[in-house]
Amino acid sequence: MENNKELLELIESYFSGAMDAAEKKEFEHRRVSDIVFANEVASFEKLLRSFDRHSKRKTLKNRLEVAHAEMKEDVDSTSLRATKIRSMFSGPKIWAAAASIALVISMGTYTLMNYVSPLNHKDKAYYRELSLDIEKVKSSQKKIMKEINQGKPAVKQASFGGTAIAISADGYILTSYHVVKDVESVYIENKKFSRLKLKKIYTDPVLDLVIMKVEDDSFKTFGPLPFTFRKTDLDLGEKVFTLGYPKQDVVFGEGYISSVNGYEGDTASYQIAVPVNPGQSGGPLFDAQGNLIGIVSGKHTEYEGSAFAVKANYLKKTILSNDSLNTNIKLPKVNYLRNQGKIQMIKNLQDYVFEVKGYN
Amino acid sequence: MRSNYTDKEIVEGIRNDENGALEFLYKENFHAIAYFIYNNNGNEQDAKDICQEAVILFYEKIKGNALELNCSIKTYLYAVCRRLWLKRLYYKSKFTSKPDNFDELFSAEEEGEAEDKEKDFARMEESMNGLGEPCRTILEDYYVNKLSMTEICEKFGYTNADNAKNQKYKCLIRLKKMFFSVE
Repeated sequence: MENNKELLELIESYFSGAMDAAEKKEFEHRRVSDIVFANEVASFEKLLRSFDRHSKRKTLKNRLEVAHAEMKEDVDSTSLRATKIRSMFSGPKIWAAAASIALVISMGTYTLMNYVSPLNHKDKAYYRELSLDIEKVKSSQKKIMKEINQGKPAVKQASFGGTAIAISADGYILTSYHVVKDVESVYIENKKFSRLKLKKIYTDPVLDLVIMKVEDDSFKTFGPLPFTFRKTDLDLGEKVFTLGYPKQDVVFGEGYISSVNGYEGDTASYQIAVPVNPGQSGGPLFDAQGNLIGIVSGKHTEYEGSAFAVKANYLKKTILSNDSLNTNIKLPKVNYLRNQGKIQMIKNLQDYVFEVKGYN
Repeated sequence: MRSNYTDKEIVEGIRNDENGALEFLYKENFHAIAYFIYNNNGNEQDAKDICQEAVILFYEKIKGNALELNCSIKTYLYAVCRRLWLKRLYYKSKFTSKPDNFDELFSAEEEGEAEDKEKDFARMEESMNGLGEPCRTILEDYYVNKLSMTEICEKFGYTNADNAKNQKYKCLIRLKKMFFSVE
C-alpha cells in the first residue's frame, strides 16, 4: 500500500503535466480500474481547485478593500466642500455671495492655521519646554528602571527601556528618539520573535522619532503586517488604544483623542486621554479599526491623564519625502484587522509590538 | 490610474488583467448599492460585503466567459446585490418571503452553483486559518505565487530542497484533512 505522500506526488505530477505518455496511460488506467485510487484523485483535484479559487478570491477582496479605503478617503476630503457648494446653488443669489465669502474666509483661516503652527515649531522657547517635559518623563523612567533593577542578579542591566512597533515585514522598527538617544546598543524583545538586535537608520529629534532596522542573522521576516497607517486625521473623541511595555508583559490601554494638537499646540502630535507610564514611550497608538495613528511620546507632568502621541501622518510624510527611506521601507498596505473584534485585534497586533532595551 | 471606463472597457480591462478596471467598477457602484442596503436594515459593513461579493462574482463570470449581458453593468450589479441582500435577510429571517420570484436574472442552477462556491470558499478559509504558519505561506508560495522548491527552501531556511518538499507535502496532507473534515 502506498503511503499518502507518494500518492500525492503521483497525482500532482499528473495534474502538472510532468508525466510522460506511458506513465500517463498507466495513471489513467488505474483511475478507471481502482475505485479507491479514483476517489483519492478526485478529492485531490477538488482540493487544489478550491485552494486556487480561494487564493484568487482573497487577492480580489484585498484589491477591493484598498479601493474601498481610497474611496472613503476621497469622500471624507470632499464632503465639506461639497456641502458648501451645494448650499450656494440652492439658496438665493445673495446667500450664494455670502456663502462664497464665508468659504473663502474659512479656507483662508484653515491654511493660515496650518501654516503658522509649523513655524511655532522652530520657536526656541517652545522647544525648550517640550524637551524639558521629555527630560522629566525620562528621569522618572530612569529612576523606576533603577528601582526595578536593584536586588536582581547583575547580568547586564538595560540602562533604558521603551516600546517599539514594526512598520515593515523586512524588519524596520519605529520608536521614540528619546528612548534610544543616549544608548549604544539597542535590542527589542517580545514573545513571538524573542530578542533581536537593531541598528539606527534614521533619526528625527524634532518629531522625536527614530527608525531602526533589525540586523540579526537569525531574523528573516516578520511576515505580512496586519495593520496600515491611517490616512485621514482623527477627530476629537475618537476611540484609540495603545500597547506598551511599562513592565515585562505587554499592557493594553484604552482612551480617546482629547485634543487634536499636542503639547503647547504642537500640530504634529495628538493629546490623548490614555493612561501611559514610563516605558511606554515609542509605543504604537491604534484607532478602533486597528490602523496605526501615532507613537506615544510623553505625558504632561502637571495635568492628570493627558499624554501625547506623534501623528503617524507626519512620520509617513517623512518617509515618503526621503528617497532612501522611501525605496527601502515597504509600508504595509492592507489592514486585515478592520473586521475583527477588539480581543482578536489585540492578539494579532501584539506580535509586532516590542519591548526596547538599550545598553550603554 | 484612469478616471473613467465604459462598460466595454471594464469587461476588456478584466479580461486583460488591467489594474484599475475592477477598482473603478467597485467605486462607481458602491454608493447606489449602499443606499439600497442602508434603507433595508443594513449597515456599511453589509454594503461592503455585498458589493464586494457581487463585483467578484461579476469578475469570475467575465473571466470564465459565462456572462451575456443585455443591460448595463450598473443595472446588472444592482440586481445581483439586491438579490444577495434579500437572500441574506431571508436567512436572518428578517424578511418573510423567500426572494424567489423577484426577477429572472438567474436560473436556479446558477444560484445553487454560486451558493456552493461560497460555502467552498468559507470552508477553505477556515482550513487555511487553522493550518497556521509556515504551512500557509509555503502552500501559497508554491501553488499561487509559483515559487520553485529551491526558492521556498531559501526563504524558509530549510537545509535542502528535499526537506522543503517534505514539509510541503505534510502541509498539503494536513490541509486536505482539515478541508474535508469540516464538511
